[in-house]
Amino acid sequence: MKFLKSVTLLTTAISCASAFIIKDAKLTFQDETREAMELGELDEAYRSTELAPFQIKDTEEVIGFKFKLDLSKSKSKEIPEQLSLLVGIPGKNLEVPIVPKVKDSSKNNKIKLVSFKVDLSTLPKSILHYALSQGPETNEITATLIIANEKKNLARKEVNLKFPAFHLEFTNLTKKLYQDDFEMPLRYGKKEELAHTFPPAPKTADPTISLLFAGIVLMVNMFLYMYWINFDAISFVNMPSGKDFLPFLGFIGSIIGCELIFASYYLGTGIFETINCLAIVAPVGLILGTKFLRNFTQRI
Amino acid sequence: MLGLRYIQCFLLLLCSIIVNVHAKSAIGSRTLIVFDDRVDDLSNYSNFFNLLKDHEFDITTLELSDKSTKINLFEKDTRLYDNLILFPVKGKLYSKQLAAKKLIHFNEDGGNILALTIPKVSSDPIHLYLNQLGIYPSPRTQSLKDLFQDSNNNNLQFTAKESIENKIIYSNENAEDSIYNFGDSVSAALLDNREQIIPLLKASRTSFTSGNKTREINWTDGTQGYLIAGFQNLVNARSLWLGSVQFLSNEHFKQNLDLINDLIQWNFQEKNIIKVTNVNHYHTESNLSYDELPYKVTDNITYTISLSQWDGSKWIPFITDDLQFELRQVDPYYRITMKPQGVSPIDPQAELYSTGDFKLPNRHGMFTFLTNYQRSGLSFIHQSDVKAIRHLANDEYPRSFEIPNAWVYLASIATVIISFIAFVLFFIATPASVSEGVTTAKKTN
Repeated sequence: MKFLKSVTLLTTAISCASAFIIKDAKLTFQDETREAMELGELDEAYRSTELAPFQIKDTEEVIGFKFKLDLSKSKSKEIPEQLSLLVGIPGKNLEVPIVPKVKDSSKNNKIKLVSFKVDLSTLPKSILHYALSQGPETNEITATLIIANEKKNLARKEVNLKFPAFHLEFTNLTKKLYQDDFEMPLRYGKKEELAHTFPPAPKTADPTISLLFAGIVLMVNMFLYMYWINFDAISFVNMPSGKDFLPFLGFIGSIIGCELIFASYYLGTGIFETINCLAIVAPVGLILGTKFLRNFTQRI
Repeated sequence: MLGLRYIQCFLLLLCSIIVNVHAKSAIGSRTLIVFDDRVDDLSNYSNFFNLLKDHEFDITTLELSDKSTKINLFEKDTRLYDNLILFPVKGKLYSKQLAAKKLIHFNEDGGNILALTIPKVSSDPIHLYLNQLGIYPSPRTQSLKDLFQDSNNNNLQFTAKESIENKIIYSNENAEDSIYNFGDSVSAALLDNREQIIPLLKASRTSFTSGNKTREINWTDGTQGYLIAGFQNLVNARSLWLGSVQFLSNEHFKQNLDLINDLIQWNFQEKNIIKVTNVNHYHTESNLSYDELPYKVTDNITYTISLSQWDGSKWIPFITDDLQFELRQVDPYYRITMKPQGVSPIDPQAELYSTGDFKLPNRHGMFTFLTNYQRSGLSFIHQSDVKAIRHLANDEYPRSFEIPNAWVYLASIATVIISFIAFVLFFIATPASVSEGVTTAKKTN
């Protein structure tokens, strides 16, 4: 089946001839250092060859594409109904049509002088974005020539023309230097995932070092007590007893009680509960302390 | 020969019934068809109308060749129809009755519109309405041509594989080689670069739109042009534009049936309709909701949502892998792709999605828990819940004894307290004579 199809296509291709003959085609460049490229006749042989892309150094380059369109063998001698150059990247559906200037040849009205002007700076940013991207995917700009007439204006076996006339590729240096300001149009779709970045935890000392220094503080305190004991600075000979013992116990107890209330406040007890407790302990300590110290002053 | 024709008609009818069995719109079936007999004969579209009836649409036809006909889309503020089909209309008389503003109002109120244009008739209100959407059909007299198409009757044909753009609406994956016939009078449109516009069928690379006048600039060239485009507004009402009336005609109906069916199903909301059945967010550890325990900064939260899809007759679980949740306070703090968890335990017709555990940011204020699912061709989902996230209370910060740096200071304070009590005790218990052990003598020369 496939073989039959291929044979049919081949036979059709051989039997069909183009209505349009393209002669003296050439490419001109704005860059004065670059010579015009003569493409000659764009016949069947030209159309079937793989064309190497022309290297372009400047994104402002203007390329002229001119040829003589010979309609002498065509049924219609008028300018073809469709005569345009599609410039862009066909694989990405990004192409813009360029309309030619057409003049009659001075010698013969059957020959038209067709000239296209491809100003690269006026191409849509999307085309330039892909053509100048530095990724592994190479997107060369293709200029596809379309010349067509309605069927009634074509002789039997004549066919319309559509083929890539030339390709353009920017040099690596141009790609590097190009400032791409193309922004992708907004489209619905999955967006990039986001996660909140928390600030780093505050730096704290190593617990071992903290414990070491806390131990040093306690040791210093212990040394103080040992020093007092060593030099007989402490004695319990004068320990209150008898009628002074209870006020003494209340005085010391209230001091310890106040310290415990402060410690429990630090550990999370509410301020009102703390004030309530202090309101009980502090007056007791004040009364008992006053009474004790008044009686005991002479012995201190 | 006649027998063959009957068999063909019977098969066509049977085929359309099989394709559309049980298909029903999710929103409503009241459909108004506005038609101008001066432009085309209604009987040319009998298969199309039969197809609409098979879809159980309640059809009202309004013929506009009679000048006394009035078009009422609303009675007071109540919309009278769910769907509106606008065939090309001639004359300025109906410009006011079918003004673009009225059509926009109908669409914004949730009504679906199918608009058809052709090159030979300038239906200004329809064109203006489409222009408001960002669809710019070619002006009168400019029609689409493709000189490379090999057909004897100038009919334009496009293959699904090369021309169909949106695979969500065009669901027939097995029919990529299908060829659709648009007839010989086709409008092509340029489309705006908007997210709401859904390009459906593009023109071929060698096509162009031109008029009768010479040197007239082509409206479209190559794949710039579109023959079918959709538009879905933010309230999920759908508009569809078709650049050919002949596409629906009896002549091409059989060839175009699967695409027509897909377009009707999408346009009149028989498919690609999604709804939210349940939304929930709660503390991950305790499963307590916001009302039970309001959120504070850095709490661990889980967000879940359940989605259903209308399949033409019932709601079924909607399964996708690109549903995203956002936690926003002006800008998103989190955007998490949710994972499907299977059928929702609350609603067996819905699929449950979950973000998994995530930690609220260390920033207090009003936050939006948002699922904004917008995909080209599917109805939009916008589910938001604004909640306050409080800062830490004074007793919720770490205590100083939890911080190693403070241990030295705490040890110092403890020793001062103990030393103070010990000093008082020693001062009272130690007799004065102990301190009098050191004697001083006055120096005499």
